[in-house]
Amino acid sequence: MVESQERGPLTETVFYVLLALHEPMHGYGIMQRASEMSGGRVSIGAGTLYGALTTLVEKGWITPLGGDAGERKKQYVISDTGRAVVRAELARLEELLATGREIAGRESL
Amino acid sequence: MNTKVVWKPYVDYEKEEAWLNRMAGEGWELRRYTWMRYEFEQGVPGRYTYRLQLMADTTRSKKGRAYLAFMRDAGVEVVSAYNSWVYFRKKTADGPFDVFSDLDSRIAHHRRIAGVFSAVFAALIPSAVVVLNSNAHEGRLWLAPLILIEVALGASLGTVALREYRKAKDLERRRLVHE
Repeated sequence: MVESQERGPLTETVFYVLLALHEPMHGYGIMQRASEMSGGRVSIGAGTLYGALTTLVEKGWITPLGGDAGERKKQYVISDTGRAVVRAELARLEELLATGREIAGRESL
Repeated sequence: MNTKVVWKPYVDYEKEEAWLNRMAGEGWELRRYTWMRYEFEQGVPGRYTYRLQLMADTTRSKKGRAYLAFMRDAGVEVVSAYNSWVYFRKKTADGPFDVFSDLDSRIAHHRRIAGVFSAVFAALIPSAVVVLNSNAHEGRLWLAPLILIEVALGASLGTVALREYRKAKDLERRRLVHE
C-alpha cells in the first residue's frame, strides 16, 4: 500500500531508477539506462544513486536480487509497491501536463 | 614508471580537489594519499577527473566498504581512502564526473563537512586557551609558533566550515524552487 505521505512528487532520480528497474539491473546499468531514457539529459551521480537505492530498498519499492554474499554486483528490481508508486506518479504527471497545456500551452500548441 | 611525492597541508578540500585536477591536467595522476602526502604517477594529461568526498561512515566500516564497492561497480575508481575522506577519479572521456547529481545529497555533504570542521574548530579552543595561558603567565615564548599554527589552523577550519554551511543554505533555498 502506498501511504498518503508518500504520494508526493518523486524526484527525477527516483522516477528514473524505478523505471529502469522494470527489469533487473545493477547500479551501473541503472545509470546507463537513465541516461538513455532521457536522451542524455539525466546523469545520475553514483553517490546519489547509492543513497536512492538504499532508501528505496528500505521503503520496499525495490528489492535486491541474488543475496549471494560473494556476489559483488548487486542487482535490483522494482516491487509491486514500487509499480503502484510509479502509476500514481504517472497520474500526477498527466494531471500536471493537462493543466499546464490548458493554461500555458495555448500560444505554442 | 615515473612517480613523484608532494607533501602539502590542505585544510580546504575544494582547493585540494582543484589542485589535484590541475596536476592531472598536467599528467600527474594521484595514486595514493596519506596524511599530507600525495603520491603521483605520470600518465596522460587530462585523462582523469578527481573528486573528493567526506563519507558518512569511515572507509573501513561495513557501510563504508559497501559504499566504496558500489562506487567501483558503478564505474568510479577509488584512488585512495583516508579516514572518512575518499579520493575518486573517473576518465574525463566518460563525460562530466560528479559524485552527487541531486540537491539533497549535495546539501547533506556540505552539512557534513561543516559539522566536522566546526567540531575540530571547537576542539582547538581549549588547547588554544591552555597554550595562551601558559604563555602569558610563565613567559614561555617558545610556545609562540604553536599559537600561530593554532590560529592559522583555526582560521582555515572556521572559514571552510562557514563556507560549507552557507553553500548548504544556498542549495536549500534553491530546493524551494527546484528539485
